[in-house]
This record gives sequence, structure tokens and C-alpha cells, in this order.
Amino acid sequence: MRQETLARSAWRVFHLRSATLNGKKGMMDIWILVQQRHFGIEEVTFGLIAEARHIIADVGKFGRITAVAFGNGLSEELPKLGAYGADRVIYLQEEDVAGYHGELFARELVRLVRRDKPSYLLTAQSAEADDLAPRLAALLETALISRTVDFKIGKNSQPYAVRTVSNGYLFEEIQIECPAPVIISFLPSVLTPDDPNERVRAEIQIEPLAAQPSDLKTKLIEVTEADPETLSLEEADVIVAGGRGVGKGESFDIIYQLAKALGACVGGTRPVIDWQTLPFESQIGQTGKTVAPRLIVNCGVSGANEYTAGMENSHLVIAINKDPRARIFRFADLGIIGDVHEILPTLIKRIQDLKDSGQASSAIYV
Amino acid sequence: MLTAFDLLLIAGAIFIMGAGFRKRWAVLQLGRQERPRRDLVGLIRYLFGQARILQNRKAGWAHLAVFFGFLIPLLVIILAQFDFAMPAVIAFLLSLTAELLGLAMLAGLIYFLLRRLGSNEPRAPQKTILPVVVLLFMVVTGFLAEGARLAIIPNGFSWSAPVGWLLSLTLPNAPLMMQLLIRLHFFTLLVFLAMLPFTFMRHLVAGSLNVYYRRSGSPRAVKLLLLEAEPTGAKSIKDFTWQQLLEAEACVSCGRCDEHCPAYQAAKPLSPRKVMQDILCQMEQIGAHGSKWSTEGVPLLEEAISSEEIWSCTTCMACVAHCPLYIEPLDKIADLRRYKVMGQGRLPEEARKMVRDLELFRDVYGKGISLRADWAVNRQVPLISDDSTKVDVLFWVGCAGAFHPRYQQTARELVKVLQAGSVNFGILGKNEFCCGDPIHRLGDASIFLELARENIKQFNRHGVQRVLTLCPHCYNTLKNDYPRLGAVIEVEHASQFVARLIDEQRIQLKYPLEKTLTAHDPCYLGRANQIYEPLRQICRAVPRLILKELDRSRESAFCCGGGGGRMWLHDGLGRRINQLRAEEISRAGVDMVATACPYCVTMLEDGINSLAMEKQIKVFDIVELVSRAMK
Repeated sequence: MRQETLARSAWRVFHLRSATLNGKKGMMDIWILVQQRHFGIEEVTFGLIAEARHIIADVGKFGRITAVAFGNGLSEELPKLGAYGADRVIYLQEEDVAGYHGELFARELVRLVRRDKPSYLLTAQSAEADDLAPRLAALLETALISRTVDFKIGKNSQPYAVRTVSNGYLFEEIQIECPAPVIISFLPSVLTPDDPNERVRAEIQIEPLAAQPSDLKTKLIEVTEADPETLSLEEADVIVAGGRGVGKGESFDIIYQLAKALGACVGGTRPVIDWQTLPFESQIGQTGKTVAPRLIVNCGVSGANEYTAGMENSHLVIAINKDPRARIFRFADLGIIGDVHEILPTLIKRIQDLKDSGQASSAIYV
Repeated sequence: MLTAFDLLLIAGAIFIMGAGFRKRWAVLQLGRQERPRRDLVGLIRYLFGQARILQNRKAGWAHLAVFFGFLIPLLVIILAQFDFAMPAVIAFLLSLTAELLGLAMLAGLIYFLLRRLGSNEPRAPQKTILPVVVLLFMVVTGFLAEGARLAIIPNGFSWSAPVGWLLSLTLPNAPLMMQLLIRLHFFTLLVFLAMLPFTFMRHLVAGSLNVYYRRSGSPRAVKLLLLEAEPTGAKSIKDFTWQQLLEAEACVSCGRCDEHCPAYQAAKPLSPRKVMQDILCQMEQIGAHGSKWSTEGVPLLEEAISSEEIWSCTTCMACVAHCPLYIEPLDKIADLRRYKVMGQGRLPEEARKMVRDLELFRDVYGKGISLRADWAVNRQVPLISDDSTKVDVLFWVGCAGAFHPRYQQTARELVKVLQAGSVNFGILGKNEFCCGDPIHRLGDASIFLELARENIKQFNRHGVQRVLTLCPHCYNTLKNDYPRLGAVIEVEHASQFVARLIDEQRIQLKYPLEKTLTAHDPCYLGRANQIYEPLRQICRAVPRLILKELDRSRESAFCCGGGGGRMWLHDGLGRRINQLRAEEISRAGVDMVATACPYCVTMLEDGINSLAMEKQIKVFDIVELVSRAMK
């Protein structure tokens, strides 16, 4: 890590000296699209930066990583991109644009790409990126590789990508012969960020939008938040999972209450599905869904391997169980020993109070 | 004496019978041709012992009575058609035997008739009443003819014909009536012969043929599919071998498979009997169409047998073990699964992750080969590699032992036991792949073969001759499937191995355990490989431990519900098999249950947990029990 940082500072020096190198031959410029959410930068973005750095390191050439961000309210967050390894940040700031706008973003990006001619454009798959990437590919008449799990420059500088096909059942390797800039869209689950170095800063260029909102054919009218109760478990950010320890029938209502307070999806272990308290779609585990939410609260779950196989990739794990020896505690970042029915009412009340006082909005987005 | 007219009638009856069987035989020929094994000795032993049929006591004895009550008197009467002298004692004895057997047959037939009339089961044997009535008529006319004959030539009481003598007392001296009765008796036999192929009674021929041609080998579980040579599973009956179709032909729909099928007992959609009867029904449809089937196309098996049915099977082999006619419904279900998976690519969604894990990581838990030996870290477990010294026995850990947290513990306990017994063993570590059982049972032969060949390559490379497995599924695969793919290994299951260590006094079980315990026989150890004793032998070797058998044990042991890939399938239909078994165990009033299989341990622990008993029954692998008693 230390060595890497040194190496990076070395070429940063070089880069600063040759700021005019922009777009010249032999220089690899990798662009990544910044993904934001509630005025914060999503972790996959840093994962993309790490991916771009590995590509540059593999080639052994000088290269530059440019992060492109849209919208407003990100100014405070942008230095993070530098800390994670981006060299330059292009920020298309527009006060009037709240949230994502496919047509506008695509137009602006095409303009920038035509101007700077990057080598590759990396995105992480999300609802927005899945809309934007095909638009870009069409406008730029270039190739788009979706569901990518790996991207490398092979022998003879031949770039290739590995992508999943058949619903993740198989992999295929794609050799890229299309001229730059090729768009590569990664599956978020394969992206892991490197450790940040807070002292490194990136050059931030603020660009005004060229297109006027009046030129656009599409208009954003309203954003409707998904109802966690109808959201598929795999897509949920926060999950409350109930197990055998919660109990049947009405006892299970406490789980719904917590989920409501947290804005979370409800999942369950197999016994709960067997009781028909929850439908099969809500089952987490070996024969159910494999989930990786930002937060999962396991209530009354003992943590058999058949369950943990479906949730072990979750980011933050909280477990509440009566049995101090329950296996679920091995997976928990926070373990609470006690009865679900004693702890949860207090917790729900605290969350409600926080929400009522208006302090909870950021606390809930873990 | 037979007249020319009688001979003509016999020829006619035989002709009708032959024509009927020929038509059915033609349908069998639609199946794939395969050279079957022939077993005349086995058939004779089967016919005269009827051991399989006697597994059901009442029906078995009734069957035995009817069988011999028909066969022996028939032979005696045929013999009587020839003129030759016989010592009187032997003739009398023959007569007495024939009469007694006739009586037994009468009792058996009445039992069967009442059973059929009293049953309101929709899938009970079909077309049985008529042949039973015909047989009854035959017995009654036989006895009456005998009585009439004795009434004409009265020679007083004779011990050789008690029933005939009794009847003769009530019958008049009328030769014409006697002739009439004899004819009636004889014609009934001819009618019976002629209707053989058209009723339930064709099992006399089809069943015997099936026993004659039955497949060999004790597990006979699921035949190995070598992709190059065979079609991918069964789409229509034409994809079965003719021997498999003969099995359907032989099925009498007695329902013993259902009685023992865990899926059927748990009210899941599967009934092995229905599977066989569906196949038979399609064969009959095709038979009825005659030559038209080739133009109209054969019906597809999936029209009759739903995917819920075939995915409900745990491949526990209870249907195979309890079929009185050596029919193997499991074998057909396996072929149907193969067609679903390899022919149509319709593996149930929830199992796909496991398949992908096998393809990418070579284990069913998706952890990766590099972590395969992590359970053994710091436990002085020798690793077999190119430059290691030769070991006596390879400890085949299996995916569960290597990765499943509950069963890693068992693997470590076995290491302790082996070390205590100074066994010179080693593991393959990251050179061991999944044996392929789960995917093989789910119906994907290609991944199975790939894994198997990789593993066999490792065996050959390191000169492995003896293998010890922790999991019965690995055991069965290594023992029965791998040799056919070129492995030359001797395989032992941990329970056998440890039982031998105890026997040879290489380990001592000193510490008493004052508990009552029951044994749960894993299907792939018991029914598949007939290994029942080691489990019990070990239990008996632990001082003060009391072993109590379950109601259903050994051959009849009830499955835990985890085999056949069921561990990776959603279980939403009917009741849960593991809970049924857990209830049975709790009824036995024991403190512990010992088994010898990772699936059984997981499933039983879950089943017992679901009962929420005050004092929970503990589930142990037999190896854990041994290491506990050694400390």
C-alpha cells in the first residue's frame, strides 16, 4: 500500500508537469462515472477508481483517472474522489438539475468525451447507469460491455473483458477491438475500493452545462421513492430479517414495525417461510435469496450455515438473539443478547423519536 | 383324459394369451436396446422364496398361498394326465398337498378379494377383481369335482383328500355332474390363461421377466450416464431402455413404494407408484394406437409427470428397496430430471447458485478450493502432495467436512480419532473437488463427470489406493460411480473405519455416557450400500450407552429429506420430511440421535429445533460420539 502511494505520487508529479498532455497518444485516460445518492458518493464509485488504477498499473503506462460527476450538492464530497485515487474530477454543476436526467447527462457526456477523447469509460451498473450507458454507446457509436466482472489489458495490448451471461450462470470473455472510448459497465458486487489517502487531492474542474433544459425532449416531473415493502429483497439497502426466535403470527408484527421505522425490507429464515408468515420470495439463505444490503438486522435468527450463506456479504450486520452462543453473532458487527420482543419496542421508539425531531434522515442511510 | 377338442381349446387359449403379450412386447421394443443381465438362479430363488413379497407379512403370506396353491395342484393334475404307476403313499401325499394348498389358496384369494373390495384408494391395483373371481371359481370347481369323483367311487374316509371326502358326503353319485365340474374347472383355467395379458395377472409374466432381467449391484441407485453414448434423460418413453419399460409393465401398483416414500408420506406431490403407472399408461396408449403412434408422435412424459413430482424426490431409494418386483421408480425419476436439466435447461432457480459454485469454485458452498483445507489448520493433518511421503489412507473430507461450519467440527473430531488410532492418513486439501453427488442427483451429468474425472486424476497422480470418506454421499459416489470412470480405489466410510479401529482395539472408548440414544440410518450408507452394522457397533462400544431402535430403521429408515439435491431446493409443498423424522425420534424417548451424514445432521437438527421441545434431543455424528468417549 505504502509503495503504491509513493508510485502514485511520483506520477502525479509527472502529471502536474505535463498537464498539457491531455489527449495525446500513449497516455491512457480512464473515465469513471460518479454515482451519487442522497448527496453522497456511492462506494461503487471508489471501487471503479480502484478498478481503473489496476488497469493502468497492469499496462505500466502513464495514465490518468478522471471522475465525472453531475448535479448539485456534491461539492463537499468531491475531494473524496481524489483520496481514493482519481486524478481529475469533472463536475458538471447545475443547480436546476436535481437527480438523474438521462437525455441531459448523455448529451453533456458526449460533448466532453468528444473533446477529451478518453480511452475507456467505466460505470457501475445501477438504475441510472443502465439508462445512461446505452444512450452514450449509441451516441458515440461505440461498444458497451455490460455486466462486466473483470476487465484487463492482455497480451499485445489487447483489451478484454469478462462478463456474466445466462443470469450469472456462465461467463464469457470479450476481446475489444472497437476504437476508444469503449464503455464498460461493471457489476457492483465485484467492485472494492482501495484504502483512501486523505492527503491526496484531485484537480477539480467545474464545467457548466452546455445544453439548456429547454432543448430537451424529456422532462423530469417527479421522483417516487420505492416502497420498501414491495421492493425485492436483493435490491433492498436495509433489511430486517426475522427468524424462528421471533415467533409465529402476531409476534412477527414487531419485525414489520421495525422495518417500517427503518424504511427496510422484511426477510425471513426458512422456518418463518414454513409457517407461511412470509412468502417464499422473502426467504434469505441457501434455498432463498442471496442478499448484500448495507444494513441487515437479524432478529431471533440462530445463524445456521444455510441462512448465513445468503447474507454473509452484507455490509453492516446487527444481530439480536437470546442465546449468547448463537452462531449469528460471529457474523455480527453489533450483537445484542436479549429478547427481540423486549429490545425492539425500545429501538423502534428511539428511531421514531429521532425521526420526529428530524435528526434521523442521515442516520438511517447507513 | 384330454380329448382333441380340449387340445384345441388349450391351443386357442395359449394363442389369445400369446397375441396379447406380443402386442405388449412390441411396445417394450420402443425402448432403447440394451444388453441386460440374465439371472435364472435369482428368478427361481425369488419365485420359491418370495422374500421381497413377504416384507409385507399379511399380503406376502396370502400371495405365497395363492402362488403355490395354483402351481403345485396344476403340476399334480398335469402329471395325472399321463399313465404311469406311482407308489400309493406318494400319490396320497401329492393329493394331500394339493388339497391343503388349495385350501390355503382359497383363504388367500378371499383375503385378496376382501382387501380389494374394501380399498377405496384411487391408485390401488387395477383389473384385479375379475382374475381373483376366476381363480376363486377355479378352486371351488376343483374341490367340487374332487368331491363328485369321490362320491362316485366311495372308498370311505381318506387322509389324502379331507376336503374332497367332506364334499363327497353331500354330493350325489352322478358321473355327468362330475364330468361337468371337471370341464368347468378346466375351462376356467383356460379363461385365466387367455386373459393373463389383459388383466392384473400379466404380472405373472412381466414380473418374472423383470426379476430375470433386473439390474445387478446392490445400490442400483442411479445409473451412471456417460454423455457420449446415451440420450440426455427421458423425454418420452422411447428414451427409456426396454428393461426400464419392462419394469413399468411389471408394476402391479401395490403401493409399497408410496408407503415408504418420504415425499409421499410428507404429502408432497410425488408418488413413485404414480410415476410407474403413468409410464405404463403411456405405453398402453401407444399400444392401443398400434402403428399410428409413429405418425401422431408419442406423448411426452412431462404431460403426465409434473416437475413438482420429480423435484420432490430425495433419492432415498426407499421405493427401490421395498418394491416386491425389483422395480426402480427412482431410476425413472433420475432420467426425468436429466431431461429437465440437460435437455431443457430447467433446473430449479434456487439450485442454480449451487451449480455455478460447483463450476467456478468446485464446491457446493461456493467458498473456493484455496480455503478447502482451512478447517484443518494447526491440527497436524498431513497434506498429500507431489513430494509428500505415501500415506496408507486418504481422508476424503467432502464439501460439508471442509466448509459446512457444523460439519467441519465433525471432520476435526475424525482427525482426533484417526490420530489416536495412529492411522497414517492424509488429505488432498485444495486438490480435492466436490465428488459431484449433489449435481449428479439433480440431473446434470456433465458437471458431475468433469468433477469426477478431475478427482480420479488426483487419485492416480498420488497413487491413492484406499479412501476414507466422512459423508455417505461421497462414499456412494466414490465407491460405485468412480470405478466405472476408471478409478481403482478401495473406499470405506468413516463409520466402518472407526468401527474397525475399535474392533482392533486401536482406540479405546473408556468414558461412559449414561444416555439413551437412537440411530438414524443415512440412506446412502444403509439402503444404497447395506452398511447398517458399524453405526450400531460403535454405539454398543460406548460404555453404558443404551441403544434404542426407531420404528423405521435399516432398510425401512425414513429419509432426513436432504438428499438428491433437496438440500438446495425450496421445500414449499406438503409437510417437511425432516420434521416427520424428528417427531418419530422424539417419540422414541431418547436423549440423543446418532447418524453418519452431514445432510442428516443438518436436517435432523433443524427438524428437532422446529419441535421446540423442552429438553432437546442432541444430534451427533457417530464420529463425534467416538471422540467424546475417547477423551
